[in-house]
Amino acid sequence: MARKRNKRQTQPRQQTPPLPLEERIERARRSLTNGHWKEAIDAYKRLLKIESRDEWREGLADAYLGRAAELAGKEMYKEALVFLENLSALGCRRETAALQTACLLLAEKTAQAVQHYLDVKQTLPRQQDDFLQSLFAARVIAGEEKLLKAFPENSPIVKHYGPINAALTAWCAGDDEDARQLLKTIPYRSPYRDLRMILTAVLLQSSDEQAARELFSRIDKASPFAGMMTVMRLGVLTGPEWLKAVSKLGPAAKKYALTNKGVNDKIFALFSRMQKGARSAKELFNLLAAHARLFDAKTIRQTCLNLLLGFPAGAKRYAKQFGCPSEYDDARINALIAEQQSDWEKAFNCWRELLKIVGEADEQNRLRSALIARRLADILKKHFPPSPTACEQMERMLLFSLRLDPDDKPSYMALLDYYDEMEEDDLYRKCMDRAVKQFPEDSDILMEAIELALARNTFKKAAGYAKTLLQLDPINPRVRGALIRAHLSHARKQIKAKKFHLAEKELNEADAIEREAQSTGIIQIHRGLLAFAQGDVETGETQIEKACRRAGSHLTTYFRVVVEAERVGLSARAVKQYHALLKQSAAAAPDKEGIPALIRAIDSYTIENDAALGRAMGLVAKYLKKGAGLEYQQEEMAAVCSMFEQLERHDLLQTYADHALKKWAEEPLFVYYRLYGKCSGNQFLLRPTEMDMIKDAMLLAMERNETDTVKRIHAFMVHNIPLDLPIGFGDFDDFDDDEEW
Amino acid sequence: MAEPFDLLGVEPSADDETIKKAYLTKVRAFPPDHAPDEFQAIRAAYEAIKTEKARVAYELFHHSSVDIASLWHDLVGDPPPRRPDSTLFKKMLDETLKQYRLPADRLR
Repeated sequence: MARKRNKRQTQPRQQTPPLPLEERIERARRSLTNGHWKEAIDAYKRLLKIESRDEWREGLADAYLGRAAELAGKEMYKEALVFLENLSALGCRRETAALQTACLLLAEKTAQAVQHYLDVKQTLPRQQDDFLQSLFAARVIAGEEKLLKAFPENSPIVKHYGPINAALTAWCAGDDEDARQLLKTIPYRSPYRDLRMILTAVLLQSSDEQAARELFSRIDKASPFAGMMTVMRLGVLTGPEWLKAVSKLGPAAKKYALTNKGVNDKIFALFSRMQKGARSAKELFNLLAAHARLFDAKTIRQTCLNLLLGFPAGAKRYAKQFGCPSEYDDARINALIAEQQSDWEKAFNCWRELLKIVGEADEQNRLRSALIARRLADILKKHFPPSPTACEQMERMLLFSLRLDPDDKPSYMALLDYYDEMEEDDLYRKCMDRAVKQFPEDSDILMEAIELALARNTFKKAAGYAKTLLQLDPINPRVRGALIRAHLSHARKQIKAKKFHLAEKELNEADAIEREAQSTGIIQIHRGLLAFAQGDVETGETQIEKACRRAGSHLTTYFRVVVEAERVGLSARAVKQYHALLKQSAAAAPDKEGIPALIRAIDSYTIENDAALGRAMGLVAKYLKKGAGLEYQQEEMAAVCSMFEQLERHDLLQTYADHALKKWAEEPLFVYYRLYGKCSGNQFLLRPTEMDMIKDAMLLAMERNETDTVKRIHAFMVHNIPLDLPIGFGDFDDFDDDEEW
Repeated sequence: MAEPFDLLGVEPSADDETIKKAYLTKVRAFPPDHAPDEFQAIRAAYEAIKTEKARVAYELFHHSSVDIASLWHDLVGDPPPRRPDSTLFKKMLDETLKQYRLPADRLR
């Protein structure tokens, strides 16, 4: 080091050649303009050494003022005052009175600050005067009451001190009403205005948080009371936000914040530690268990119990430190842990255990039991392979839950869904009647009821439900469709009974509901058939032609005419031209538009499951068969197959499934459709190799969690394949409460 | 989601009416157009506990969140604020004034 220093000393200083004067002037001006005060001061000082020019002195004065303000903005008030003195010594006139007063006060030269303020007060712009007064007011409140003596008695700083100090004392003592009244006596333009707003806001915090926030937000960030406002508004924060904010505070503010929350230092330190470091349930559990004494015994016990969900291995320490959990807590926590681990068998058994523990002693426990039973039904449905036992148990759980808590729509819907799947028509109807009684204005329930009524040919009932539903939901297209179907069904009945005027009335009602954009031409077809039934061929043909235009497809319309004609009791001879037209249209090559349109038309009949449909299908079977080779999406193909399955068109089902398997080899759903079609739904006709194929398809579907496919295959094979059920699916006699159903 | 009771500022024993009132107060403070995230959280909290059945289901099935906010709620809660004595208040103001940064530009 020494050698280096010597070396440096021995080197001759390199003198930089002096810049030309013009450039030095320009540099000084540029520094000033850019707010580089230090450089500007230096530059102007050098220039003034060359020559005492007024413009350079003015430049230096500006630089001094800029530098003073810069230092004051960095809380370096004493240093700022030096530059203000330098400025004063230059003899240049600048407005420094307010800045100097503030710097004197904040540099704790209080007496000088007051004197200076009183000397310059008259010259100050109003805004600056207001600011300085609030700065003095803050210092007074912060403990420098002696300042008050220096101000005239009529000064607002003195006049308003009494009420604001009394309001503060009243608030600290919890005398809120007194505090409110005292704050009201302080005028808006008081130097204590911001403190008045802060106290008003904290008084409002518990009753009107929004108004409190609004008041806090009105305090200028540059106000001397702004720091205080930041601390006071912490009162509305909790948890992590509060911890984060408090950790940034000074000692007094932190003490205030802790006092305000009723939190001691140790709790604060523990939470700060958890917030910084501990993130996992294990870390949190261990930290809290180690500091359990800091908290209420019951609360910390419950909190640690809840943490076991994320840290099951802590159960041993928990039992040692807090004692064994209650039977209720034990079963509940274990069930939730099992669910988290997707151990559904264990979860099922734990919830069942809890169901027994909870019982039905009071209303609260009956509700708990109902909810647990629903949870069990849900687990059975979603996480167990379908089996007659599981289905039965699910039904029992749902019935049990509805006995304890009849006001639960999802349970009715689940039960209806179950009866529908199991084809338990009587139970479905009974359940539906109860559901409608329980939820007379619920759109989901009413929609289901409409479909049921239509399927049972109780048209008036269906129309009644649909009208109620349309009143509740006037733009629901499904209801409109259902209501139209109800009127059409009734119209067909009237045509068949030769009560043509009544049929006309029904069709008029259907017409009034239908929206033209959604029309399939079905009403016009019925009008046409009504005309044919009355012998008016010309009107009949006009109406059918109108229907073709509405539907946009002759093939579909002729198909519908053939089906509907039989349903209204018209002889094939009466509409023979449409049989011919249908055959003619179906002889054309199928296309991507024609097939789906026809399928949609066929699909619209599936819920009514009419024999006439089967016969009409015979006329378009070849057309449909040829359509199997078209390019379908997998979902489209699955939908088509599902429809053929429902229609029991096994030949078409097999054809389409064969084509599907060429594209999606071994796809479980299509394997099922192919084999179902091949044996016409009779599983006893399957060969052993085909039995193996369907078993493999089922296993693959289970692996992929394709619940619908599993259910289909299971329903088909249930009498042939013994399914392995999970342990614990034994008795449910304890919950067999469905006698009243 | 933070504990719904904590978020709405109600006790677990609160009834439907109290919870609804607390929810509406919160929604007024955090309207969806101004504070969409807060509103969504408040809405979710309300849905989770708005009826007795929902509260019982919450008690039975909810997994306590492993977060500081939930632990804070469980262990510290939101007790009514305690008032400081006026000396501490003044000391705190003095402390904040010492950290005060003068808006010097406004005074030039």
